[in-house]
Amino acid sequence: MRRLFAFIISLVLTITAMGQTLNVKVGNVVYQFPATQTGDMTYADGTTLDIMGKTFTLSDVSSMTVDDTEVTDNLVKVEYDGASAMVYVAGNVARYVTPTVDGAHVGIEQTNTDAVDGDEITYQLSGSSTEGSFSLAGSYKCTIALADVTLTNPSGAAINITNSKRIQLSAKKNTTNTLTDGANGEQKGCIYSKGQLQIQGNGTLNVAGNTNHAIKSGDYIALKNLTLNITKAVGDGISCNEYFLMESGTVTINGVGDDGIQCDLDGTTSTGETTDHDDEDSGNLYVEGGTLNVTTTAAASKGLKAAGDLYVKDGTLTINTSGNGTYDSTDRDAKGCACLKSDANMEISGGTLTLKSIGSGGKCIKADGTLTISNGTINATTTGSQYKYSSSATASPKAIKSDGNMTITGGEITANAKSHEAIEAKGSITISGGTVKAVSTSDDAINSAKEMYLKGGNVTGVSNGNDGIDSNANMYISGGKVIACGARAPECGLDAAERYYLYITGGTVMAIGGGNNSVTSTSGSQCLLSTSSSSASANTAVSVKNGSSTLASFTIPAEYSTSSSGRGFGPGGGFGPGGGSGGLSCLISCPGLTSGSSYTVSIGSSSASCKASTSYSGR
Amino acid sequence: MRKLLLSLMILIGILTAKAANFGYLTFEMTGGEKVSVPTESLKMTISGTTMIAGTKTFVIANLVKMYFSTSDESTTDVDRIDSTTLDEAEEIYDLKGQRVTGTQMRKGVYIIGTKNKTYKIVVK
Repeated sequence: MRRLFAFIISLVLTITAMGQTLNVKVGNVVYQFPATQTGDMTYADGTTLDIMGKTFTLSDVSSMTVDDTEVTDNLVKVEYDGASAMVYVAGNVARYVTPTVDGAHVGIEQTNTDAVDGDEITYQLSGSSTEGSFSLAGSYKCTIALADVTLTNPSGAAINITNSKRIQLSAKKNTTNTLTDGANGEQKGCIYSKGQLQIQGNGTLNVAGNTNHAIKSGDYIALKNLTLNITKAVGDGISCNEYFLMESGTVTINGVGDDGIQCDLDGTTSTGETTDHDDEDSGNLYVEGGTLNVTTTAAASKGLKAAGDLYVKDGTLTINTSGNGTYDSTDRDAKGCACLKSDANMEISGGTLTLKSIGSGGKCIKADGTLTISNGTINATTTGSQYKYSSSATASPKAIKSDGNMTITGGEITANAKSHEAIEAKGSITISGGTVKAVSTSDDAINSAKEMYLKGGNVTGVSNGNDGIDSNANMYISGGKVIACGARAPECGLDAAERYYLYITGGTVMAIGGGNNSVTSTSGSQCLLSTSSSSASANTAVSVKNGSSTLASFTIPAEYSTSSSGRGFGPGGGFGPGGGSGGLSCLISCPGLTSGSSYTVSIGSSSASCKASTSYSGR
Repeated sequence: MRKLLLSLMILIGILTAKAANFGYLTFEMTGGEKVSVPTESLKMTISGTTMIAGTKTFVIANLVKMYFSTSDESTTDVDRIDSTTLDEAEEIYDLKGQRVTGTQMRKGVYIIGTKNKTYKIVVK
């Protein structure tokens, strides 16, 4: 019984492997017709032969052979071999596919306007050539599968797709594929697609663009799974219209002459984000997962640039820019680099972002509209100085900036700036959750041009040259834990602009600086304690006690430095009284304080008794 | 075990039908004749107006169709023809595919195409 069983298994396997194929060779193209599919193959006038709807001119046929080649329906194989290429066309799509082969330059004209046998046509590229290319024209979606292909086209794009429909460009699993185009050409990309491009697969794809972009699509680009290395581009690493979506995969972009990834509007009016991105033309850029490493060096270049909104929902992003600022004569404005740049709004709801911009005027995050952060871990550092074209045209290096309102409801955010604000909004700033730490060497750590609302979360602003936390309008602190450390006088820990007010109605607050803004008493005001210190310094512990009960405790951040001299003042109950030189003002507010009662404020090893009040007269 | 065996036998049947080993490529001529050529390692070349398929030579103009078949469906045999047939011959080719006239025929095998029929003859 066992022998019979083994024999039957062998028979099954043998039968699976059998079957004839008629191979019709026309130049470097072989059409492969399975014997099970051919049916009657008809001759006409002694000049033509029709097989499965494909008509051959017999004088063009080099040979016809029958063998046991396995044919996969809907598959066209292109095999590059140095100066030549062979194309193998499955019989069931032969009537829709017309290949032309010139050396190792392969062109395909695809004529189907619907699925073939329920599926689309797949073009599988393999082999190598230093003077070859693949061009595809057609009117229906299809797939280009890269299966260990290395292709260089010195005279144009390596892959040129004028088929305006959706193209899947897939790097097959366990394959490495390298595409390079020529310099000084007219192609828009080493890989160019007129229509939508879905780049995927579990293999590796390396691309170098020597004339313009590495990858260019006239419509959207969606990317997932694969390992994509852009090693060079004269223009952008990836350039597309409508929208850009990265769902997963590992993308590394280096050696580009402009932006890492840029997405523009195709039309003139944005559709905004649509359901499932159907018919979307927004200029939006979406990162929803994967690992993205981008390095740009060009002046005013951007790591990721969206003409619309920019969304980071997940993924690990490491973006570095090093180019200096420059003057844009078209926009008549000075511009600097940015790791993330949106011409509209920006929303970060997840992911781990490590952003660094070191050139003059460079920023890490720049939203021309609103900026919303609800989750994720962001580490943003700028080290450059200001770029100045003229007194009215400058680009300032801020770690995180929005021209519109900034809203932070969650996440872990660390922002460092050397010569300008670490976090700045030209609109309002509202922080209601998360952990925000901003450090600036010479300007405000956190600044809003309009109202600032600190409602929750942990907010730390450290400036060694200006205010810790500064609002150019009213500032409202109603919750969370706030630590604001500013430089010596005339700078403040907490500062609101002249003719505006600071309101504290909740939260646990400590502000240290040359001074602090006056706090206006209002309905619901939380009591305040004020003192002064000549010894407050980095890592110093600060506490408020009611007897033996600790009401609040703080640690002065390690980045704080009070090397500059200034006025010191310490109204009522403080030590280091006003008028002294080098003293720092300390303002504290926390729950549990009763107006008129005294509490012990300790700064390092020094302690003083301070009386609580609902208002504070400061700077 | 019996059920598994039965399933395997059914699978063999299905696969056999699906694979359908086509042992022949059958050519049908204008006169209705059929010539089957074994498909094993079959190579066909076209030279001018003739096509050589394995050991067979065909005048392409006389071909109507070809198809894969599981058996030899040949209907043409070696015939004895008379001079009348030779006079009606429109094309005469040797096995090398070279066209000859009736007077050039020597010993050997020839393909004669007339208006109505194609003959394969042996000249002795």
